[in-house]
Amino acid sequence: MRGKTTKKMAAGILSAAMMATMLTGTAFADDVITVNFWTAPEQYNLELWTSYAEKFNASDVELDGKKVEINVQMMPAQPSSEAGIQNAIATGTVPAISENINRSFANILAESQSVWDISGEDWFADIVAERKIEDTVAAWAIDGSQYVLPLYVNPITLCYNSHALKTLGFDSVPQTTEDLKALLDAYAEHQEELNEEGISHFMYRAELLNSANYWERWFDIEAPYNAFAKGTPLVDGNTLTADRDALQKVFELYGNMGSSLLTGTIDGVWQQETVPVVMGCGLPWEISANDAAGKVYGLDGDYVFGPTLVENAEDVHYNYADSKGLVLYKNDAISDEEHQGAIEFLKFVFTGEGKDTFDIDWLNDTAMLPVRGDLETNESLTAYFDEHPALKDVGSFVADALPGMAHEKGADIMTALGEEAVIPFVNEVAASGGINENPDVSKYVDAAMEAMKNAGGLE
Amino acid sequence: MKKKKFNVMPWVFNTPYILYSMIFLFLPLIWAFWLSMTDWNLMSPNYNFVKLQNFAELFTDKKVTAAFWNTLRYLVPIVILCFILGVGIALMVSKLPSRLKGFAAVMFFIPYLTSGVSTSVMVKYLFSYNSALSTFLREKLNLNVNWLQSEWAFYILVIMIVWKMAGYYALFVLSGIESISEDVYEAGMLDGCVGIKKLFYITLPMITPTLTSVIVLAAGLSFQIFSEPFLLTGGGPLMSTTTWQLEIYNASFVRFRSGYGAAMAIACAIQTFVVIQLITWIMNKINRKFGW
Repeated sequence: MRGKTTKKMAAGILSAAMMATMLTGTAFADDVITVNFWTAPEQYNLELWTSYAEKFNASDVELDGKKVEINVQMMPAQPSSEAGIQNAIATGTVPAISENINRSFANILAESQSVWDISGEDWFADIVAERKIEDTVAAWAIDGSQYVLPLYVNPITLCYNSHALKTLGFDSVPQTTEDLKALLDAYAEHQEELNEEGISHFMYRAELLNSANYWERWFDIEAPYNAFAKGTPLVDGNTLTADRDALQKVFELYGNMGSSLLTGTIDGVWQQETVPVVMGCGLPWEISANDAAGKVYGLDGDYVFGPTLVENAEDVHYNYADSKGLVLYKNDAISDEEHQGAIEFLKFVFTGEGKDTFDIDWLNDTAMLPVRGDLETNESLTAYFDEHPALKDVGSFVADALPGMAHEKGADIMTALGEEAVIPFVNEVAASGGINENPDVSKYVDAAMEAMKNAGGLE
Repeated sequence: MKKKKFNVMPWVFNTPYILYSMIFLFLPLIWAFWLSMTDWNLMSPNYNFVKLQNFAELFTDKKVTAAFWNTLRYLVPIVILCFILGVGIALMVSKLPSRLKGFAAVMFFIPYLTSGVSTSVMVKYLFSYNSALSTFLREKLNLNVNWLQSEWAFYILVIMIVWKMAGYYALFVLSGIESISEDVYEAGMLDGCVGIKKLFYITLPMITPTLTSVIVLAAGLSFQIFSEPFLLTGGGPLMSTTTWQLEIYNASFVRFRSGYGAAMAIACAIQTFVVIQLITWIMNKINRKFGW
């Protein structure tokens, strides 16, 4: 009898607990709009966005009487962050908002109707005005619409070994192709001396032989091309707009280095005790690793960034903008409330409470340049740049940085460029050539034009 | 006439596997086949039913041709080396004192447990331009080899895969060797079968079914190579190290042509089926020759 009563009591308590849990859950579900936010797959990105989400959540922002809460997670990056997003869209698990989207992938998302066009939104116009990025977003437009709020930019230029420059008698970085030819001549003259110091080659670019990592073409071909082409894109819409002469100058640039172009793989070339080259591609994300390796920035230090090379001193040093930003996803799994909640978060960070601290926090946490039109003059960032001269120099290239093509076959186009033109050129011409021998590169330029046209189905 | 009684127990025991196969094998297979007939990128609400267009494109795709032939190029050395090393390791371990056998077997098995990613990082370091090996060759022998971007890349990948898998297959062979009764060897000795003859006339014929498993598994492995070329060579130089899995990944997740990627996966499955059937047919003939 006693046992039966105990069982009844236990069942009653359990039922009550379950009912209470269900009701509580329902109550929360009704009162709170949870907005999922995916960060780039880096711990420092997660920590930064989590701190801003916590501030936002504490500020009790409401939509139609419901509290908006941001739930920050790192985006899945196996096998790649793009594949993670693709999978999330296909399975209806995509968040309302994420960062880490470049223009090329944004174009694919836009074509797939998976992101919102934000060009007509007042809040977007407010953020653009606040951050003074009118010119930048114009370059991000896809078919006249805006899908991305640009967040950070790495202008890809060139990087030099300061010790080598000093040995070669140069007290400034090359600005024009003539300057580089002079540097190459000096290198040829002092090759033995440099070799004894451990500087065995002129330029390091192992990725020239890697066509599978198509994005490497953005850095070794598109960046110098943008400078020679004076901003004419390789591809515009569905048309091959590449300036053939400019592309030829890129091939000639590498061709004149001949066998002094180092294509053997070295992990962290600028972090080596003795950097074995005079120059390489200027990749700003290496600054943190260089700092960690104790490398000093500047002409009197270990390494120094220089602009892309131009024909004439007065030409603009256009370069490639390795840039990513935020997008708002469009999916049946995302409610209108969640979409609006994501917009509230963006307003909070970029035009609201976070606007005075976000950029400096971003710089401190990620060591990547935030997209701001007033990057060089903004007083809140001055102290940071004074302490980080490498980023200050890189920041000076941002104004001339052009984002990549927005074409759904962008990966195919860059892969074909590597396979059909760049790799054969390096193997057949550069590898066996001497310094400043002006090899005939026209065959490879034609191959490059043809490869891009065929791969992209371009007009 | 007595009615045959329906026996429910076989169905009870087999239902979980049948359900598992239906959910995780047949349904995805049907779905993959449907996907291969579309130009869907898994994201867009709109897509076209392109019928067999993706399959037709496979025949003109240089990457697919490279993946097809490379798989066979990988298969030959991987099967031969895994077989030789697997048998060699197993024979060596079988001769060890009992107390050391387990330890030695585990030592050879450890590479199998190592992730492809960490192995690739080690290999990348070992064959980089400024590694001790490259520096030694350059400075002492005046040999400047760009290991992972030359024809050497293919052989480096083969060695990595064989290093990883040989110990695993050796365990199969070892269990086969251990199952041969000493009586058989003693009877052979009475007939003058000693030394190397023991290996060829007793040991290997007695474990032919095990060797068949090893050969078929090693052959199947050649169709699954991904992480090594993905991390070390990107399929290059000039597609000489690319594989089906790498190209399926690139088509589906880099170029976002999931329909085409599915068509590639089906083509890969067909090649796998044909090759494995051929090897199984040959091995069955050998097995029958030895009375299995």
